[in-house]
Amino acid sequence: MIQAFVDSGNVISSIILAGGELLYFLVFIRVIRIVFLDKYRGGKLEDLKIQKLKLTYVLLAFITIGGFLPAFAVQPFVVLAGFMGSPITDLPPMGINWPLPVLLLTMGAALVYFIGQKSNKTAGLLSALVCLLTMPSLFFSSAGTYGISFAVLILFMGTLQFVYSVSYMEHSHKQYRFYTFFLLMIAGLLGVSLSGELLSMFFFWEIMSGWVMYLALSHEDDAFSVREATKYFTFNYLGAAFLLVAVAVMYNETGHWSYSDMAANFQYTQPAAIAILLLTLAFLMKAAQLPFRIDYQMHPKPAPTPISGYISSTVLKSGPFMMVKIFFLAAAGVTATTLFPLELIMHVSGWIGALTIIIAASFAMLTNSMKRLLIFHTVSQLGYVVVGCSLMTSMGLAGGLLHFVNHMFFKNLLFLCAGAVFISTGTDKMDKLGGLARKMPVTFICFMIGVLSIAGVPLYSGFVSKWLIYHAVMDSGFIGIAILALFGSVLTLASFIKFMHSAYLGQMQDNVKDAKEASWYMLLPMSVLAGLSILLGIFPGIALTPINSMLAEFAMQPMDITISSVTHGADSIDMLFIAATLLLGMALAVLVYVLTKTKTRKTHVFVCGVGDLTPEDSHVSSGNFYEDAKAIIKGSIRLMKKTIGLKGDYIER
Amino acid sequence: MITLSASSVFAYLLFPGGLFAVLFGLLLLSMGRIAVARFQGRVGPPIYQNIFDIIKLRVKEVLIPEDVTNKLMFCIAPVFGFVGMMTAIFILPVSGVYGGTGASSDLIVLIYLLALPAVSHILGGSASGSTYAAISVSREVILMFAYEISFIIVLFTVALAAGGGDGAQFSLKGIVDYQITHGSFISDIKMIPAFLAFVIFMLATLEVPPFHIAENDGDVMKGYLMEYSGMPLALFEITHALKLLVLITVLQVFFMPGIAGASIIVNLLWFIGKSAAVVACIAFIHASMPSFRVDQAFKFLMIVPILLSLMSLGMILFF
Repeated sequence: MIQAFVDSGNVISSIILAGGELLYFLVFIRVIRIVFLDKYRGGKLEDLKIQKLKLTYVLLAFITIGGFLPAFAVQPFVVLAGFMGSPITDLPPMGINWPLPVLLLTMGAALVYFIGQKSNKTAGLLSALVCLLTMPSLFFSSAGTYGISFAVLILFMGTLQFVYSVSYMEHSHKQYRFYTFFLLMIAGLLGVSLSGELLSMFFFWEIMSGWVMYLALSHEDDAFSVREATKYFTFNYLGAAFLLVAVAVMYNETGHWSYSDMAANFQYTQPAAIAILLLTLAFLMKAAQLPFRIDYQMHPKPAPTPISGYISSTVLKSGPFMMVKIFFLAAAGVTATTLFPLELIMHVSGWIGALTIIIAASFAMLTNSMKRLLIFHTVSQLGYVVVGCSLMTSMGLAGGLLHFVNHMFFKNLLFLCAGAVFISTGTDKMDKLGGLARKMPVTFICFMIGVLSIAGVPLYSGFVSKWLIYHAVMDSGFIGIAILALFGSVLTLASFIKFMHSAYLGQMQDNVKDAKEASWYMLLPMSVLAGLSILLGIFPGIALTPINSMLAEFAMQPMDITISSVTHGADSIDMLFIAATLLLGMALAVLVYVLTKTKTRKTHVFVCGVGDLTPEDSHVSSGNFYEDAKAIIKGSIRLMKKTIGLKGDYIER
Repeated sequence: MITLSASSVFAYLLFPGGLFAVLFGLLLLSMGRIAVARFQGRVGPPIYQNIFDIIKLRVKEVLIPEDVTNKLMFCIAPVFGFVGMMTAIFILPVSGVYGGTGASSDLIVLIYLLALPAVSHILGGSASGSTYAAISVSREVILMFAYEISFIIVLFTVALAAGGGDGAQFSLKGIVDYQITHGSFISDIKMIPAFLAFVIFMLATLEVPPFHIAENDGDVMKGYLMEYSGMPLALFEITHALKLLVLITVLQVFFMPGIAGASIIVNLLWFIGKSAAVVACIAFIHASMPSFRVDQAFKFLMIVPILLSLMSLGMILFF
């Protein structure tokens, strides 16, 4: 890796280098994969298990040392180069700045590793405490509103996730290991959000989406989760490879690491354009856009649900987060004559986002697994964020960032609900469920709030952000993107109706006969998230106020907002007004209910006199929904397979 | 900020929303029934029949099946559609009579509000635990999936056309004002395909033949309405009446918001006349068409209205 840095410092034509580097990394990934597969086969034998862990730790240690002391690690190579007669080049300064909160979190992780071995509860609550206690240290950070707001959300979601894990991970093994790696991953993400320079960003990026994440994801240690985690890791590695090349080129072009210096020295040259392109690509890959091999780019299903929820809701946001940062960095050095390539990159990313919305949501129509459905929708909803952010107008950015926050809450909520169902019934297949709402009413209500939010029903979060995005897209004149994005909403609603009916409603199935309501450790984070979803739905101003100051930070015109309303040009929306009218209607309906004196009688569902139906017979399960729509989707997948050579049936596994 | 003036409360509760809308919607439903009956050579019910139906349902007892999966959801499901339609009729302008609500009176809000009755059917039917309801829910969503695409395209076409070549006009009032000064879209040859697509969308949303599929009495026995009785059923009926009125108003806002004069009374009569004419046309289609099967309807909705609306969109964009 470090070699690559040194290399790119010398090479004149970065274009050829980029191509070469890519090849190099592809080969490297292959090697890693082979090593992985070998290890995994060896892992079946009991006695090799320790060996396997040791090897992993050694590799981790190497990476960490290389990262901590890059100058120290590169020294032997420099000496070697000197021996071979090449002139000693000026090495770029490669110090990593550790922000204080990241250090605190890393130390907390170590603490959890040692103290947490006592019991699962200690480890979980300690981790939650670490996240919570790190939050005040953010006040001393100098990362600007944009970074700090993201960091606050990162820690907040982390706290909820750990409280939830206390109950979720109860029957798992070696929980302290999971908590430690999870905390380290959060530390990496925190580093990405707080770091003020590109190299540190890349370093923390590697922590966040590298080995630590891999170990946390494959925590269950069975073949399925290891295989899926390896796939996702490979994909992340590819993204990081693009990023590494781009980071090196950016340094070469500007001569500085920190964002502000970079922006000041940014010249619009051909290598710089390629670097921007590669950066955008890497960030889009992190956000799981470009849906071609969706099983590689999505985080794995068999991972523990708290971490799935966290990756979906928070970690993947680092993609759009950095994308916005880089666009602004690039926009600083752009003059009118060179605007075209950047505009093209932005427009293309907008289209990628819009297509992702549709494709991922259509895949979600087909699937039968709860978690996979949610993961598909993560990809789809991130499409909205990318569409909004790629416009780079103040309205589009505000919409994208608001959706960024909203999606964090409602998607995590949905994941936690799915996890609660999984714990209580032991199955992930929607076909095997039915009638759960009777057994788990609170989970069901939380789930419904999540569904109404993700579908963008007024009064729930998700509506205002989508409203802003549609308006912004139309203002920029991209009618195709607007149509696709709006249609994506319908698809979202459709697939969640399937989920809702086949899992929670309908006839009660045998599997769920002895299901129990989730424990308080699970219900608490769920209700907090549900409450936030409604709160942000009625008062989007709470989130839009910091977003406005971010817009000011990016030197854009802030939106005209109050606590509940948004105005932009001729378009305005007042959620409190809509909420008041909707609630007034609700009050009227309730009044009608109350005023009519009615006898209520209990009956049975009318089945035309058929008496011998089992619940299984009369339940419409997820496989039987939407036959015609599914036929169209399957047809287009087949067409895609023929035209661009997709392989494998990866929707249903 | 919120403007809770006396006039807006009046507009919400009495006119043109609220009481007026409910009564007028129910009358339109009855008119439709009479017209269908006349086309089929029957006499049909009296004009106040649907209002009497509601009054009758008020005193009927409410049956709640024991197999209902979630009682709360079963009881509040009708409310979703009702509040959605109440709000929709409140924010929709009636040309020359009522100016809408200004802020928040917007096309995107309208899309989501118009989806709420379908959501309430889905929630209610799904929560009732009946198999027939589940089948009808699946059908309803499939059709929604198909007709929403064309509706979205029509909506953007109208927004672009009302923008007059200068971006898109999302404000409902703005669309009405544009057409009053530049002539109604129905007289514009470019908008005729969009108009046809919207009519097909209306038929599909209202579930009149040829799209009488989700609540077909013949095979799924009223589908999602099957387990409902008493006041919740009445609420569904009221929602249906409001939905008819809302869709007719949207049709007028989009394509024929022309005014008849300066007086509010004349304009109101003109609005009522246009609405009755639309209901008569719907009744004619209702009486003369058999119903599709769900797969046929899906194919039809995926092809015909989408192509029609894309045709209009193309003409607006490129000519």
